[in-house]
Amino acid sequence: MRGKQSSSNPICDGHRDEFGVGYAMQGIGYAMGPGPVLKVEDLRVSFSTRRGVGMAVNGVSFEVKKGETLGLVGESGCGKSTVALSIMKLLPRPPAKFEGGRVLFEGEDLMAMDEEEVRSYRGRHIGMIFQDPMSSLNPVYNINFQVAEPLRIHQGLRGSALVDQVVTLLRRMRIPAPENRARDYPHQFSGGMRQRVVGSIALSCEPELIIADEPTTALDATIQAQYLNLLRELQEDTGVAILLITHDFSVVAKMCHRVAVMYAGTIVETAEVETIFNNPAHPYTQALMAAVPDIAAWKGHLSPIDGSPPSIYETHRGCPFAPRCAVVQDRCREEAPPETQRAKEHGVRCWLHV
Amino acid sequence: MLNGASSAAAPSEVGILKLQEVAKWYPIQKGIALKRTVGHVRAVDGVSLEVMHGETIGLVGESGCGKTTTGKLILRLEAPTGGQVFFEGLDLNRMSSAEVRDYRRKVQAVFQDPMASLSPRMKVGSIIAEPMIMNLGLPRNEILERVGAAMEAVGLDPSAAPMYPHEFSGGQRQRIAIARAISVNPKLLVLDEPVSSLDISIQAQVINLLKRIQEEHHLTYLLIAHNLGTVRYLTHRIAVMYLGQIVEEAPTEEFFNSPMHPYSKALLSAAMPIRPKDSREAIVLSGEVPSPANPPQGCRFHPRCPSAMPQCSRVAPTLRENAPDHMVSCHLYDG
Repeated sequence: MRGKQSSSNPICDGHRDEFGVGYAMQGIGYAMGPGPVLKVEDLRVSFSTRRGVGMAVNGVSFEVKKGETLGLVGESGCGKSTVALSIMKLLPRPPAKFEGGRVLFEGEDLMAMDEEEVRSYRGRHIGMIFQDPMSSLNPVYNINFQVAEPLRIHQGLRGSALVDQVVTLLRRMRIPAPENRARDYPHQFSGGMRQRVVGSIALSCEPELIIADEPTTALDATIQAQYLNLLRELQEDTGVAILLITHDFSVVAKMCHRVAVMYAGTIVETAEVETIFNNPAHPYTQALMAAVPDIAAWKGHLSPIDGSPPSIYETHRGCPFAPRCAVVQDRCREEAPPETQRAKEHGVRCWLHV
Repeated sequence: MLNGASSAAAPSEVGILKLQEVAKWYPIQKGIALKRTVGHVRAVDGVSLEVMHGETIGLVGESGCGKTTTGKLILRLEAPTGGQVFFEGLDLNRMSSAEVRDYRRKVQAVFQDPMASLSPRMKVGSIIAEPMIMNLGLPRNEILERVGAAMEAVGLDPSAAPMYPHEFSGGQRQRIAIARAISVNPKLLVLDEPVSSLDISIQAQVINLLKRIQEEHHLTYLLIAHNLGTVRYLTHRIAVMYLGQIVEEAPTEEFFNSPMHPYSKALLSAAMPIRPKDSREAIVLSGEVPSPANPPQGCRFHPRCPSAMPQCSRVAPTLRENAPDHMVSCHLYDG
């Protein structure tokens, strides 16, 4: 019985030390490269549907530096995933349409490239991790084939070199017994392990940037902690830049160096992670922080934000948050606020700070 | 053991729901024509719990720990393969049909995804009226009146009754589900991840609503959730489940201040550093939850436990009171 148990569950035995039981939050220490890996300038994306034309992304600018994790945070429908997909030009067009802006990857504008050129970036220079590993992996190919695919296409690896590299990648994502597991299919893996396979594929060509769209949302709490640790370790080893899209502030606290808060298609505040948590300037960021049931700093009450976010089909003249804002002024309903720099690395879009 | 829990810091000393060594094993069958049972998935395996009138008890744990199955057993959507569930002293599986009907009115549920639990082809007014038509047999005008009252109670405009669920936002849909549940004056609400599918700003609205409704309608809640923040805000007591069993049960504040079971500590740690650069040492468990079809010998948590001892792989610990009202199932607290 015991023997059977340990063989059916190899990860439970003998691998405990690999993770270490504890980690410290400090020591993220990121090296700043010369220029940003990714620079998005005034990106605007619309969707044309039966309900009309909706601006899903309305003038979004940010940059991600080497070795840095930028968190793109917001509620559903705020356009954060649209930003992620537009960077890779993965949105179906139509209904999506680029209305303007630039996406500079190491200085090259991805928006100006044709499909063939963009494809040479996907998976090669920019890796992707999406929320649900069961839908980002192909159920009818084994893991070996799927991890090997970018290596074959982008690096031309063949034969035993290819097999070795696949096993190395799986081992780096701490998948137990990678030589045997490579022959398995996605359904034979648990959710956490599947997401590690996706991570192996994202990392396969040593990309400069990883776009992770809600990578741990589908995982359980203890598995999520394992995965975030792993991502952070890999970033320290490789210096890869990460654009992390999430709605979960505990993930932000654990992973991000800087945070951009999105609301209704615009970034309302960008700041270093400590500033967002300890000294947020935008009323929306402040309200969000007050609405999160925080188990560490127990407040005893929750202050919800009344109303709900606007639909992308609603046009608004002023600040999109004005209808829900607690400190709204007349001007907010008339005119959209410009971005103001409160400090180095701290930009806010609010009339209170102009 | 159960009497120990009854003195919990709950608003009432009167028990409303009692689970006694409840088990739900699902058979694993092989073969096409002659199906043979080759094993069992032990989704719930010996859960004992007592819920007091007017309190909120939280069932927490990772997916597959049996918390939703426990909810289904309480809702009588599944029959237990062992043990008994008592509601107001009556055994759920020995009720007469009249008693079952009364039970169905008194126990209502709110589920995670309102789009899946509300019929897309029914108008909101009919959705909220349906349980009243089934259970109360009131005249039409009184039902209409009560629909309006239920909608107002959850913060919806009664004039929205002729609209369909898709015309509402996620938070409003969850309000409709809550209005339907409270329309028949229930006593117990089983809330299965009621805010997990909602956005942060909307979550807080629904959490506050649930809290207000509980006070106004003197309801008892059984909250099934994985988010410890939500659980801390809503519950009086917490029961942590792992692989079909309760490993720790304590009053909420006591649990958050001094968790005992190593698994509870890891769960808390995983949710804890909500502030950046938190210097607290985080506990990251190795491995994954084993299959409930083949749970480990001894303590079910021992293969992942950072404090496992030799006896943990041999002897299963039992849930016992270690501090006042604080029950834990772990050999670390033996003797």
